[in-house]
Amino acid sequence: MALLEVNNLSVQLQTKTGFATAVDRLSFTLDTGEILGIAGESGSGKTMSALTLLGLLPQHAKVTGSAKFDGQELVGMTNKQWQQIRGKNIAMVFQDPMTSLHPMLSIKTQMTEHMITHLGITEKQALVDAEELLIDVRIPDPKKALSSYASQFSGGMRQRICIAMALACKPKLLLADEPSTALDVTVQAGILTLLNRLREEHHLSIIFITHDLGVLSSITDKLLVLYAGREVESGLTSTILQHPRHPYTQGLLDSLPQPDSKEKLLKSIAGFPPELGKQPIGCAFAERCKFAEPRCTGHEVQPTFAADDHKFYCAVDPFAFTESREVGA
Amino acid sequence: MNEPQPILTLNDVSVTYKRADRTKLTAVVGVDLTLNRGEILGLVGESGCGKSTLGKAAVGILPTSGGEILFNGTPVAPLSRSVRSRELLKLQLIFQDPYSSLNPRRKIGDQLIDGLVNYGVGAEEARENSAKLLERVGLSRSTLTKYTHQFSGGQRQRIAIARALTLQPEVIIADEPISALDASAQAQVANLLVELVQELGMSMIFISHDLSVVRQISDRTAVMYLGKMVEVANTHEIWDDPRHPYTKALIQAIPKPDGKGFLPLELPGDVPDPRTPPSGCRFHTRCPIAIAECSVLEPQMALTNNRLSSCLLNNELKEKRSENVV
Repeated sequence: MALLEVNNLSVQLQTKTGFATAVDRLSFTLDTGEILGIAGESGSGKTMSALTLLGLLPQHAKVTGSAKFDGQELVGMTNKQWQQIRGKNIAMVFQDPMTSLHPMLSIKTQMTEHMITHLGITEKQALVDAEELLIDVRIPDPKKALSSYASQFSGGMRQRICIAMALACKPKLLLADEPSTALDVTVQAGILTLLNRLREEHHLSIIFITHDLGVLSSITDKLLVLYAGREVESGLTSTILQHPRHPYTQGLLDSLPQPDSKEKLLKSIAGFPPELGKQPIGCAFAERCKFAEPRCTGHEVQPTFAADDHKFYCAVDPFAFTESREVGA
Repeated sequence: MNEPQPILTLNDVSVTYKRADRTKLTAVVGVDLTLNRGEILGLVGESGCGKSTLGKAAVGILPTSGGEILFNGTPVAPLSRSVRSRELLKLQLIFQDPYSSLNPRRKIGDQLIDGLVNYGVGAEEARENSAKLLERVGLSRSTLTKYTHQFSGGQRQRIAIARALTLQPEVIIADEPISALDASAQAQVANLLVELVQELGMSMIFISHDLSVVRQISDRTAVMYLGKMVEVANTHEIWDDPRHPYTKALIQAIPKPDGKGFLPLELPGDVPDPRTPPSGCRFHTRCPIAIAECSVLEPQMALTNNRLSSCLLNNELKEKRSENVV
């Protein structure tokens, strides 16, 4: 049985003009020790999906569908039930380590608080454990670090502390929302190496959210590409990055700087994603898609299944023969 | 090929901050750099390496503590908060964060015409000029009467670019102009800058920590580490054959979207505290190939095989060894 089974999960947020769909019938599974990447632009619903799995959605948000974690249904849980899971079995690392740590509380206080609450251990024991966690994430001089404050650390060190904090209650699932986006590439490489090691050593499952396909390529096993709250393509990371079938995924790859290009301009997908709550019926990307045909809009796009659990939602399928062409050539 | 003509020259420039606790922090140490006419120069390095400080000193909004900066032969230095010498109007800066570089309480039109009106252009003409610039950066004329909160990050940065263009600059220094923007807006704003530079015959220093963007848009790339320049070369040379170990480390740390699942190579350790920089080569504490001499001898930027870098193992020691052999 998969650790996490998400089925037809939808999230609707309250806006001035009524409810708007931020996440639209999302389904995926995650096994123990597996890393799933969620890719997409801002507003694609990637952060909202993560917040749903932590019960941290804004007030009055409507959640439908199902998300089973370790056999337990998360949708519809009360606040009291969430408190048993949030930070304990499912933990989260946020994008900006500058703002996710409290500037006025010592690292010690921030690290041990939830350990004492969730694990029922004494403060003394929590301190011992916290020190070990800091060693595990490679913080030099962990004793001194515990009595320091967030401002005394660099961005990379702060993110390591946030990861240690998230791991304190031995979660089975870690949600990492753009955990390396705010960092320098050299520091980012360290964080990726750390997360990959934690997955191997602790059999941690990770949902890694970012718009950076390079980062996703280096660390994830499978990918879920979102556009305007909907899945457009999913499958093994290697398959999707080497043979994308959805024009949006191809567009994302094309808009990365091309190392061998003599052209100075970067490619970008023309236009903007639809506004929240204004997704059309049919393919939400059709408006910006150069392959779009009349049949793309007006009715639901059915998924196409290819080898290795590769799935995509494109009626035109313009890259259908990419693979065979390469084989033939 | 035409001989490159320098338009902005930095000679042995240092910038020192005096901190509240009276300790001094030298953020930029003896940097030589030349920007040629019509060129885009990328300036890269980790946060805290002094690249933004260098950019601010180069436009003359930060005083230098040593060396000289020449723009078209005119020395660049801050005059006062409100006056800027006329010669320096052709040298403009674009800031990182358009959320804080634009005034939220003034109409965009008023912010755009300031520069023109201050330097003797009539209000009507200034307004017309600003409207044209806004159209050039992809916004409508009606932007003039709106406020910044009505725009997205990418649109705000376009407004900031239009503002920098009002005085028809010859050189633009863009300090991380795209890093505060959404992924999709980043490419659009970077493209706009490149197009403007080519169209208006400007030159640009593009400061960024995003190496892959710098690789795509810049003619030459300069790499800084802890206040010092470590390597300057044509962009394709830097990428195909980096000479300084720090440049190599930066390039290897970029994850590649090839779906092959390789982790990028980690550069161990953090950037040292610039108040107490390491002796000898500043990079030796993290350098994978450092030898004992590196912690003692301070390397200088030097040409070896037509390439400019500051690594003992490339330059001084190599020469010594070859002398010994001879």
